[in-house]
Amino acid sequence: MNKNHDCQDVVTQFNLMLDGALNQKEEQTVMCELQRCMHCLEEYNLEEKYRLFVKDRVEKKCASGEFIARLKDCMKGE
Amino acid sequence: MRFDRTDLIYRLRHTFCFSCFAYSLVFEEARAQDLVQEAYLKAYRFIHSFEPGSNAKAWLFQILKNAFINEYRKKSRQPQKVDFEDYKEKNQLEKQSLSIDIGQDVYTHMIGDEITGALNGLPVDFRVAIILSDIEGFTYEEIAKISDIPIGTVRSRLFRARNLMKEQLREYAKEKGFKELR
Repeated sequence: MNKNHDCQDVVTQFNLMLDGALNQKEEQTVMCELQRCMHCLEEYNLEEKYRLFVKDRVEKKCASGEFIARLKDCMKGE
Repeated sequence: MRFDRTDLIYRLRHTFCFSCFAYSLVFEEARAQDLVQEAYLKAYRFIHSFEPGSNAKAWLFQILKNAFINEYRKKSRQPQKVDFEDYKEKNQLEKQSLSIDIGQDVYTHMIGDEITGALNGLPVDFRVAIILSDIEGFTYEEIAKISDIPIGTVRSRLFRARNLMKEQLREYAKEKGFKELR
């Protein structure tokens, strides 16, 4: 591993990247760092999988059609 | 972007995610519906306060979050506070330089109930951070506005919330017999 490579920093950066908080150039830098370190790449893959997993699997509570209709009536009555 | 009362009524089709958020705050369907109703009615009444060009969904979530806080304050004179330092100390999560590693296979064997259970087990501020970011896809700026906290706090709260969530999932994985990778 390159001595300038800091795994802790890369983890922080790829989390920001997954949150959409980096610009294109910054993302490219992170991707380069990931290619340089297998450990960071594994961490990144795991984090990406975790994010998708949470998003897909969290139970979604739907509002009933009846509730939405009632709400519409309330709003129109305002 | 323009956003008026007609748009708001049209948006009721998307009450789905709004209701999810409300439910995750109160864990009670009737109360969640009351919150959603209150938030929509407030939005309807104060539609003129929407800033053109801003994110309408984030604006609605902010109103809902405020409705929740108001309701909470009415019920309890001393709102629950999350002691982040306690959590940090208890879990030593900050000292872990890398994310908690339970292996990718574990995720594929978990069902929604366990994930929802882990999420619901988090303190409300952490839960809100994860819902707004990882489920609803809001940006740091939008989460900061909805939650009325600085962007730096959004980032640190998300970091802690995700680690807590992973910790809970790891415990679950261990119970199910999965081995940790390290």
